[in-house]
Amino acid sequence: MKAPDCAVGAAARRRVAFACAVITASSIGCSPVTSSGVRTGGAGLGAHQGPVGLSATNVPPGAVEVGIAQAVGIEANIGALVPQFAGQVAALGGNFGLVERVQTEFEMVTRTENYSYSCGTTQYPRTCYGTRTVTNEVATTQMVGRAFYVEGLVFQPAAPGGGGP
Amino acid sequence: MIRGALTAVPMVLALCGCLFGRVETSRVLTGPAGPPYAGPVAIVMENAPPPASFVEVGILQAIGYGTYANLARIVESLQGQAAGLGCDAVIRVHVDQGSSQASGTGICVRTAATWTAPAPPPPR
Repeated sequence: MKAPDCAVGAAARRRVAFACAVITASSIGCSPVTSSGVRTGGAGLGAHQGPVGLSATNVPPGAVEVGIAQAVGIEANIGALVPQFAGQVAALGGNFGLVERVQTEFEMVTRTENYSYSCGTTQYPRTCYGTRTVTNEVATTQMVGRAFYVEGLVFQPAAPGGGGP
Repeated sequence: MIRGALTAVPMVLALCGCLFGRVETSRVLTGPAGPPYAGPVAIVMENAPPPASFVEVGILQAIGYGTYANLARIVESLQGQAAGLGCDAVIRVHVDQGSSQASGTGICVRTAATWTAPAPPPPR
């Protein structure tokens, strides 16, 4: 049976969604960040309310792994990813997150955009419109690690350290 | 006139560098930062063994654009950030290179006195 013309494959849908996210992000000037997690332990633990400790090198003694967490952002830096990562750790019932990997992938994204320009004279001003194809390199950064629960943990909550050009 | 041109050329080149390349940095503190460190900051790549003992200070990121999207600028930026936080090493350094962007991350640490930082490269 022939598939309807409007049907697209999973890969195509992902590309369309990715392009939409990029266009949306570039048009409204924000960096979309999403997060997800998988529970691997800590059965019976509800979502953690409160601050989440963070490290990239070690976990406190007695830590129990409760899941895997990740945050992914388009044109996002680690300052934007960490809050989402910590939120995912808390959603898994953890109070401590171990960042194990941060990596960025680059993809060339082509899209068409409309533009306008003055094309008249001083006496008869006019605005003309056109369409052009623009190709940009888009960076997708992933932060992935594990969520832990530590009983009676006294820790320093993760603090964004800022940044600048 | 020649002197004026000789003065103008480096200024134009510097301006072009600023216009067509930049590095943005980002960091997340996971431990106590210290006073700025004035010595050489060691770079330890992600597959190399880290120092035996260290205190974690934070996660660093440098993103280079345009003419600054290269390994040298990224590493230099990570070292500068680390020194500002009182770190003497950046461990687990990982650099992803695109065609017009490059992103590098690493963990800013203060090492124990028992670990000797690699000597800086000789001046050219």
